[in-house]
Amino acid sequence: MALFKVGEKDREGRQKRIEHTGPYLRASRTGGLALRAQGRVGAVNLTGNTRRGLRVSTRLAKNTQVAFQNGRFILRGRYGPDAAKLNVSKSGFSISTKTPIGAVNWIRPGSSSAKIAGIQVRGKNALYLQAIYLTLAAALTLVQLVVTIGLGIGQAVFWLIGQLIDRWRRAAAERERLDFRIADIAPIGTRLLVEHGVELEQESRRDLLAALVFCLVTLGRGRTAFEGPAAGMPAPETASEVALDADVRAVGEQVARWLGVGADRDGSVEAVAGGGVDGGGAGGEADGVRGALRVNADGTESDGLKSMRPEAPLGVLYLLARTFADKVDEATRAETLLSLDDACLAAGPRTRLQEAMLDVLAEGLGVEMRLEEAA
Amino acid sequence: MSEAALGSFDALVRLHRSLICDPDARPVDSALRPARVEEAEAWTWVPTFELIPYRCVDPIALALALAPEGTASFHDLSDDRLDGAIRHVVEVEGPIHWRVLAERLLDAAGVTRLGSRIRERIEERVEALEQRGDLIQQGPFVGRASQLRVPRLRDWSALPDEIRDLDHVPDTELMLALFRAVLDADDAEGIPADQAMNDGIHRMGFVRLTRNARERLQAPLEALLREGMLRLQRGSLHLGRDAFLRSAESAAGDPGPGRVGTAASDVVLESRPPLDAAELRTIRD
Repeated sequence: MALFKVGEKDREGRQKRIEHTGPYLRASRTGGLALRAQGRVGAVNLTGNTRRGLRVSTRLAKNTQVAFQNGRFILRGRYGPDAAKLNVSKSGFSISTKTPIGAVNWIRPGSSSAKIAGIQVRGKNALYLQAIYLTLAAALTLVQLVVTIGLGIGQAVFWLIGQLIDRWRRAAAERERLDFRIADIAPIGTRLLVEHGVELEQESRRDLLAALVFCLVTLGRGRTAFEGPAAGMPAPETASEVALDADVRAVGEQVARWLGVGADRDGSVEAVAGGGVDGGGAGGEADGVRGALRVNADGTESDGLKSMRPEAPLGVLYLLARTFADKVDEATRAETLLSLDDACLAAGPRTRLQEAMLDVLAEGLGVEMRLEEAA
Repeated sequence: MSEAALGSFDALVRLHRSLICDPDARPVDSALRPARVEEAEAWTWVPTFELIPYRCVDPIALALALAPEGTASFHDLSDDRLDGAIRHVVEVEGPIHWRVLAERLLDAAGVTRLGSRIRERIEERVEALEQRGDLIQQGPFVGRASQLRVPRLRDWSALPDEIRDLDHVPDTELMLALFRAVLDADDAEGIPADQAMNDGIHRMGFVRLTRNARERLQAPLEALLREGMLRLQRGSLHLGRDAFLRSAESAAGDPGPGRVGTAASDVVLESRPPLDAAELRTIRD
């Protein structure tokens, strides 16, 4: 046991009252030095104290004690929660509230107590200390409240600004979006296929899918020769990857031929003069595929079809998608759209042409899709 | 490529593979794949992976019965009738082993024994039909060009024992059975050669992988390995890099007559360079 209980903590974790309590000796600042002895007879406690005299006490009920001290009757009772404790004595009752430094008695302020650094005080002194403590505690709580409310308001404002920026970005993206009507692009695609004697219904689903891949990941980025790395596809290793790579290359040559475009040495596109395609649809600000290749996210621009209008590849894409959709079930159509969307992102953010292509693809496949910015 | 991530081709590769394994019935496929039109009148490679029942020809439909017309012997059948019957048998059951073809003709004619003269007569008519371009003979098998080019995976389980013999199954069909067994196995782990053989022939209705069956399957398996359709890795068979390529796009750029589903597969397989000795040992062990 530490000297005078210095360093010892009570139930609330505060320094215990500075005093000495031994089996027969008690010494404290207010109680002075006293010898004492205690015994028990049945349910009755007997206590002898050189300063206080003889005391006989017993527990009448829970939290209720009765005693005789030097012939004087004593009744003590404390009931209820710490916030509003009911104190009962033979002279009446009072209400007190426990605080971190002691207790404040609201009916008999002189019975309040406080303990700071193990020094126990009662009466007026305790009341002053409690008043100072409560004032400081109230001030601290107020500051905390103000800070919490401030942070909440700040977060709300931040969220609101984020929402406004997001809405502004979406509106800007919507303005930049290429908008083509199927009724405009489908006849252009049909005319191209008829010119080349192509009947897509005769094609296998495997090749139709490869043609869709070619349109999205190659034409969509302004190229006409499929190159895996340029499209974001790693070098093929497995049988499935090799087959997809080979199929997209092979069918891509045919699709590029229908569109009247050829690849130069580095795979970027040069439109064959005239291109055989008249832009018939509403192109918005896009006066050619070049304009449509700009990506929204970073503003970079890739080499692209120099003079062809985007209606031609979009028209062919639509017809490919529609034919493919006729040959597969609904789940496969949705899977096709999602996987192609995924593949578009493999080489970076989508170009505007790719976004327009995805819209057309969804129309052709008969699947609804909402585009979101890549994280 | 591993787990599908945002911005990858993984999902597309899986989707494409599923379409390869479930090919269209008979696409003409001329616009997107013009290179293959000249070499094939049907699907050039990657046949259906569907198991179809072995269809036997109806003897009555061959119209070779001797008694009703008072014909005394097989030799009295006219060339036209015999040619028609051969064409019909091949149409229904081709590619068909020569012995099974003869069995069908004799059965339809009500003749019980295949003598040397009857044999010569049938051989003569088959050769005549081949010269006319109606049929092709590859070793002991007779079939139409498209049948030999496009293997079919047939369920032989309902056939009588004397017909249900692995020697009567064309190499291309056995190759397809083995390929299918590897295709069904886990890509990463592969499948031991013996297991592939067992699974392959079991699917076709041959219940036991006997020593003879194992020997019969060696050549088709080696052909698959040579062709790059399968590869052997640490004792297990895996799909080869070129497994799903069609003949016009084989690695060498040559349609590859030895590939499954191409015209002269069985003949040319013999002239291919042999497998590495260690590879052969691994397969046979």
